[in-house]
Amino acid sequence: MFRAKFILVLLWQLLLVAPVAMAQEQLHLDGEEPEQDCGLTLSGKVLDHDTREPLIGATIYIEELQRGTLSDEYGNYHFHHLCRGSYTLKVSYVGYEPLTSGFRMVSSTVRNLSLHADAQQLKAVEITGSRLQEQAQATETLQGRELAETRGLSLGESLKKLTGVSSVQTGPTVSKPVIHGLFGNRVVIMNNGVRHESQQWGNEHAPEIDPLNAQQMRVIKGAAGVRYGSDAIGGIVLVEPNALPDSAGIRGEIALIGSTNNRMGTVAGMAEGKLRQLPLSWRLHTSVKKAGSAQAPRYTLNNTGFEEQNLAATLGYKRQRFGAELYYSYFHTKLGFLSSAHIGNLTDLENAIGRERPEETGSFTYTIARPYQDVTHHLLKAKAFYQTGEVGELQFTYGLQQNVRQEYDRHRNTGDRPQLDLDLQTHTTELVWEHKPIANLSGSIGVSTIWQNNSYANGTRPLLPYFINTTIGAFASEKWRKDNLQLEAGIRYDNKSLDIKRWNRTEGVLRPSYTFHNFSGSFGALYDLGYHFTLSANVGYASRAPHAYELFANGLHNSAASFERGNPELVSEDAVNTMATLNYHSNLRLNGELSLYYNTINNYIYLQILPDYALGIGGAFLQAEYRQADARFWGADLNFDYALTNRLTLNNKTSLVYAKNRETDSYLPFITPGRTDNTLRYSFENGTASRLSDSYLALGGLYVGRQGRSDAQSDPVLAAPDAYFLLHAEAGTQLQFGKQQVELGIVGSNLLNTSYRDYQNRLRYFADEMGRMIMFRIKVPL
Amino acid sequence: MKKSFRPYLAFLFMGSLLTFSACKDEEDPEPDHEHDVVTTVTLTLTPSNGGQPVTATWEDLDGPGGKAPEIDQLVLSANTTYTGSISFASEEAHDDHHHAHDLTADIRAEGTAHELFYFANPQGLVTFTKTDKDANGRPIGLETTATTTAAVQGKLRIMLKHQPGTKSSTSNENTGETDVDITFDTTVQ
Repeated sequence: MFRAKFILVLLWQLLLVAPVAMAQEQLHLDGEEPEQDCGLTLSGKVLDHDTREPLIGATIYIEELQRGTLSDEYGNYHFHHLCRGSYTLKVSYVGYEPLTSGFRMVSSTVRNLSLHADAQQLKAVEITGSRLQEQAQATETLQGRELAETRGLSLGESLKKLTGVSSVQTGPTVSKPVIHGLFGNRVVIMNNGVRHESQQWGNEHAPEIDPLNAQQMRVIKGAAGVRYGSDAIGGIVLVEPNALPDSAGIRGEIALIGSTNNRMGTVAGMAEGKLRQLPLSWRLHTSVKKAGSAQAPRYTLNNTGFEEQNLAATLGYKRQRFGAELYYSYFHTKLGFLSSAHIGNLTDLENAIGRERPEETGSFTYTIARPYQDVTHHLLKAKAFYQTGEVGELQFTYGLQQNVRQEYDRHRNTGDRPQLDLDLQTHTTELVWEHKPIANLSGSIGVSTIWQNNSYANGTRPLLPYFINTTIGAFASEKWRKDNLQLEAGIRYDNKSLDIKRWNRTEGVLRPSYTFHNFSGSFGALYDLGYHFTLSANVGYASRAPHAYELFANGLHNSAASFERGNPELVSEDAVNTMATLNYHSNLRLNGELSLYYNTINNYIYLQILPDYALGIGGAFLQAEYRQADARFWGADLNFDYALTNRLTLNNKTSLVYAKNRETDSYLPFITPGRTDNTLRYSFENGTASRLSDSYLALGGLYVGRQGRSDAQSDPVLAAPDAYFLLHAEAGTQLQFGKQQVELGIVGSNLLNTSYRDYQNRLRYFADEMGRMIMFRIKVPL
Repeated sequence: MKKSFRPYLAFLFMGSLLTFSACKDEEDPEPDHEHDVVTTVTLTLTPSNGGQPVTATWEDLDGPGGKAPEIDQLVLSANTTYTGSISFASEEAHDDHHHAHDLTADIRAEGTAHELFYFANPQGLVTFTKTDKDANGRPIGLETTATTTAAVQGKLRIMLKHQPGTKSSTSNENTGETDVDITFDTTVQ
């Protein structure tokens, strides 16, 4: 059923795309017809004459036509609809001598333009821009308008905008990123250059990061263990704040976000500056959020309000050869947990599943009652770089994190005590030397350490034991580039020792200890096929040591009525991920990317619900135990834009994930169902005299299929929910009041107020998802 | 340019953070378990015509799974009326002694959010009537009257439900969250 529907959707898309692709071909053919006067295309790359590195953002100007363009992130530029004739091309780029060249245009032409570095300018201008960051592994970036549209949402919800990324949810407030079906400890999150360390093993533990402080979020898909740690089997999420200002002066920004449905209000403020006398810059960012109970279309999701307070401060010192940065961030959240999802035993669970609507619905309130979570995360980062002569740069990063997670159950008379109270302290260090290109070869080597101590408060649930984790890793990665080909390879070794202390009723304190050796490697190739096609392929190997929770979990999970138990016999899981990506870019009409991947994970660790119940004083509970099996994940991501007219663009994002237990040939639980999101976007033509600029209007639909690859074995409690379709719309503009600029935006989700349940929401047993929500935002730069 | 700032010093300083991160006070987990979790239920039935009270205890110190719970048999006399009371405790086992924390008073204090349910199988094995009331006049079930008739063997199931905001004239054993759900093998002789 699911499959049939999905194929229908895909077919519909193919029908839509096929004529487009043909039209595209037509366009190229047209260009080569000499009789055709004005359909010619001029394109090519802007390159550094010596290094052959592409130059990003170079200005290319045709004098006769007064038409200009910028080279894109691959250094490509293009002009379409040119007529035959003689033209003068002017190319300029900061730090390079400008180039002027005349040429005759007879047919569509590819012209590569190489610029010479300007020795004089080089001295005066500090080049801080990054080199081409493109890599063989599939990556996606959330920034600019798309990022702006997610303002007000949590990190996990924001990342769902990217193809191949979904989320595991616990009610409307907790969302964790899922990359190609993998999540939790398999996805490494780098928050401002530091490995985010919190209780990631819990599906109901959202990353403690303020997305409002991020200027871009990048996702590296697939096994990517080399750079940040062998455990990145699923991928990496990089959350990056804006760079500190490099021109003197002070500026600021205020943003207000509000929404219907849960009546969320957010205030965010930023101030930054740079001193005139010293190379010292600073930034302060803060945001405060508060939301009440979310509303499903037919009832209130009782006790789903949340609040969040964030603060981030950065101080940077930068000279030509040396720089240092000090960063501190504070995150605190208190979030309510759907009260009817807090259940006692299996009978309660069956009762809850049998109910049409949750037992307690209540009315809208901002009050957060038990059960709720209260989480505080501190991050202190110190970073320094030093230019080692002309050959490279040495970077050192130290991070100190403290994560305090308190969960308050709905018990009787427990005063103010939490029932779960975990304290995780982490020190991370990293020393990396990045070397500049030596004969087409560039790369980096480094060492990193993690030292981590976990404990819980006395008298609280010993769900996770005390542990100390010491990890030491070393890596090297190199990139070789010549002409149209880029090759990259990397290797890493991590030594992890885990010292556990747990209390046992009969034997007292036990101190099991483990040592894991984890290797990680990658090999990738990227080939520029020309004609706006880039082909890349990557094979990554990553190996993740089991987490202390997977080894020694011991406790009751109230929302699942399951008693979860670790398995001390677990070994590291190993993944080999093969991925191929075809990118079609810098075209007038159609641009897009298709990735295919195949991921073999040996000793994949998963939580299996056991057939026999555990009997306790509260009645019968499901028992779940960590197990290992050889698994296979495969799938595809498609993302394309098609410009129907100059103003109207269709965007499609489709992702498919399949997974299987190779040993028993059965389905794995909790895998992302196929999804496709199609959006039509209209950009308005705002004249130069207009007060408005960058205005747009978009309407789209998200279709999520039913997880057909599930059965009574993978989901013994309740079968996967039906497919659903949600309508969404976005609009935005920039207003100019005299000298004051104001950015406005509206985002509407689930516009038809559809009642649905999502397979990857852990609370799907209990309640529907959120109904219609309209979110308004206004940003005022000061 | 004066050379007062030496970058390598900064690196040395930062490197020292590495070593300093490795010292942390060594503490052990307390031989303790989660507070306020019911581990022990004791049912006491006192014959109204005098005689020795009958008690039966259901105890599980280590939670679901692990060691099997210790469950007493309930032995009652036929054609007898008993005054019943039930108590709940959280027992924390220390190396050589038990430390009990009584939770019955808490349940009584939060009577408007709790109710006990007694089910006999076969029906009529023993019949419980709740005799205590919460602030809203709804039964709680900590205090009961139990009546037996014929001699028969069966099972007595006792449930404690937590019903904050949902306890009402229509609430029943399927309402709210289950705190306790236990069964005693029962003989009426």
